[in-house]
Amino acid sequence: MADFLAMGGYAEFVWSAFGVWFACVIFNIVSARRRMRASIERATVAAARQRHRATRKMRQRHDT
Amino acid sequence: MWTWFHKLASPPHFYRLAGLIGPWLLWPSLLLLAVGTYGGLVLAPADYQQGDGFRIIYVHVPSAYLSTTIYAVLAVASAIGLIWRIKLAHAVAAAAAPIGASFTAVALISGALWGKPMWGTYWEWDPRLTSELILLFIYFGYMSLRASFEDLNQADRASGLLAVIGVVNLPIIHYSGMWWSSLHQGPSLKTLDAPSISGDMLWPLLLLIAASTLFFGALLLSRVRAEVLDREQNSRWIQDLFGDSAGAG
Repeated sequence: MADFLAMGGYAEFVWSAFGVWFACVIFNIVSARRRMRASIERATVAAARQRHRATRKMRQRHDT
Repeated sequence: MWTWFHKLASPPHFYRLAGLIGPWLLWPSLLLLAVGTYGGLVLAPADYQQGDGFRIIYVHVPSAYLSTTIYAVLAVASAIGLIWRIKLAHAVAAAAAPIGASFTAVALISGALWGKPMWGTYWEWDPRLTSELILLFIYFGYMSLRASFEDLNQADRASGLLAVIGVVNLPIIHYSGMWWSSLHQGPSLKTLDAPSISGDMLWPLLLLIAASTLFFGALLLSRVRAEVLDREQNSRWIQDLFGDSAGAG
């Protein structure tokens, strides 16, 4: 195990490279998720606003 | 064929289909990434010249491959968007950019980490390294140009043009090792020749390349869906989808 971790003297380089790669994979998953959630939120708000506007228009038409 | 293509390019259809396919790309890609990483770190024998330092290849080659492949996707999508005015194509280009930039950064960092023990330096203004750094700047330029426009159509057109022009950098990266005398070592994989590395070192590399392609596919689908949602906010199908309950999708 210690041999494996030592990477024949290249430990710092090999493990840093794999660490950066792993971090990049995680970062991409998290940021894609976050992006999707933000867009869903915006779409929900936009849909609610649209519906609000539609009902108000209908009510105005009803009043006049 | 064309009706099929038009149906696919229609935003609601794409949104639904991409949502179905996405998880089927993501989970297998993560599994294959894990197997390939195990193969590269544990099963592959040490190199007779570079010892265990050569294992950086399992990070460096897939990320470098993704950096240029994703740029090619971005540029082709931009060209399609510019020529045929297909908005979904611009959405694909915009979605690909941050993924490509992140893997370009990994290719540069892992290259530096390989360079230090093998060449004695993290960085050299070598043609291969310099052109890869320029690729990173093109990605950044593309993203900041997009962000600088309020109007989405203008952003699509301007950044699309930049993406198409930036494609001249791809052959420079590819051939830089042969055109100029480069510090960078020769390719381990060639399309036409037999690879210059042995089988037990090769399979984890090929597996990781395939896995990272699938992984990019999953990320791209998810990000294009988000782009489509943002672009179609006021259309009927989105109101139907998000009008009643929050968070569906």
